[in-house]
Amino acid sequence: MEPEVERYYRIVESHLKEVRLWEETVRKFPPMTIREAVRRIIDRLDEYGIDPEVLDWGAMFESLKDFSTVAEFIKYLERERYIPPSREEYIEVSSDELERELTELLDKAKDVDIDVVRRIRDRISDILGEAGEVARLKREVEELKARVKRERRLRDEYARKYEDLQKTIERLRNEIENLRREVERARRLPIPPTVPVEEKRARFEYHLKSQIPRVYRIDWFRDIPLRCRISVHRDEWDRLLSKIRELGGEFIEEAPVRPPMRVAVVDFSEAPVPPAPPPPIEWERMILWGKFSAAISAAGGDPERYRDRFEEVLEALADRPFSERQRAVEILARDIVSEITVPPRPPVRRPPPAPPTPPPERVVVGLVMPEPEVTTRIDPETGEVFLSLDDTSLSILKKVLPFPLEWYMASPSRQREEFRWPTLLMAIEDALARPEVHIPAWVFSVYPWILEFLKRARDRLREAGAR
Amino acid sequence: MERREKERREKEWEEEYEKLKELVEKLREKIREIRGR
Repeated sequence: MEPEVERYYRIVESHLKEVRLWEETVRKFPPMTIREAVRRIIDRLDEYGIDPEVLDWGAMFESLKDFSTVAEFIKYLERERYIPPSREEYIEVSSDELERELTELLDKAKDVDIDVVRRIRDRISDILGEAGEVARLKREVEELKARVKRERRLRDEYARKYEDLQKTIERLRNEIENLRREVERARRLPIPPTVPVEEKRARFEYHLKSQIPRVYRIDWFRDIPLRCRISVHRDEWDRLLSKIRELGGEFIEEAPVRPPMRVAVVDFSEAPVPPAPPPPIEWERMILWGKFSAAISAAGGDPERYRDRFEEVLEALADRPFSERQRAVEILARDIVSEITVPPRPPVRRPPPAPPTPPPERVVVGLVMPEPEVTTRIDPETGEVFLSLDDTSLSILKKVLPFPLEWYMASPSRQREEFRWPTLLMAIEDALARPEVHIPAWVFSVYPWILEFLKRARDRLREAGAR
Repeated sequence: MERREKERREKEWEEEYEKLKELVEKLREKIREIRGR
């Protein structure tokens, strides 16, 4: 047994004897098992580079006797925040999820167009490179784990490396999940018609001419539709060849011409169709407004009434890529549609005439931060009254923290005991402690104030005495 | 003619899908390595 384990085991033993809990504890857990619990806690602290001295070992082990296994005791310590969650378990769970996602992805890819299959393959190829990086980090972590027991000075390096590993695998998970979603979307789309030869030629020309200066001419063959001669200045020759490879073209030969020009004969027949050139900025606005207004109209609303909110989002994300702005507009449209389509109240017999009331204040989800407010709710299963946040705040949190609706409606005790997840307050605290892990990156562009919002929500809940 | 073209496309699709499967299998192996099995 390592000397460090022995040292903290002795502290636990002497404290429990002092408070007269030792006999009761060892009746349930023999000393070797208590040592094992100490070792597991030290391992956990090592994953984060935390010095075991900061823990009150004696007090912590007073409750060991109340559990039937060490694993349960460790889970309790995690829940109560004595120790951080296991990074090792996180890696394991993530690996399982990655495998599941891949199986699903492959299955869904059976129904998509060949171009989508090729695109997935390219992305998987990149992801494979990243997985190699994760595997390398994992090996380094394993090596350090063995060494850190002998050389305590390595503790910080070990924790840093573990953090890197966790972040990289998190990124991998997101990428594969996004890819699966993309394939799902592609399945729902009708199979696109084959891109006409002229369009393919135009796209190759765009990618070559926009990225390589001094491409003088591109002349297409008549008999082989996607074979061409590319005339370029000799200084750009290497760049041209590398771009051809990148586009999936085959370099056939160099045609003899007078310097400084050089001519490459290239065949793009087997190359995947390159993406279309990005639309100019006015087109982007038209495309986004078209999507936005179609969604609002379909829900029975008047898109013009919401134009200012649409403009606000576009303005706030003016320097972001098109895909990000598109996502933000989609979210805004969804929010507005859910505002418009509030289910009608059940009919009430002979309703009394309503007194005139001022129009409700418009809640702008997006650029203006709503103020989180604490409210009481009733658990639909147990009838327990508990403290939670108002509807607007919960609707934002639902997008940010990926828990099911039932969890949001459950009381803190049911959230912990039935769902075996943290309470709402704990989940917010977790998100604030490690926003890069718990909050998806897109949230920061759609809700730039999200961290301030979470802080206020946490403070309101704490002030009100929520658990 | 049309049938031949259809067969050619199907064959091409199957080849692409096979390549994808191979790549996914490699990725699975890597994930197993990460998990330590």
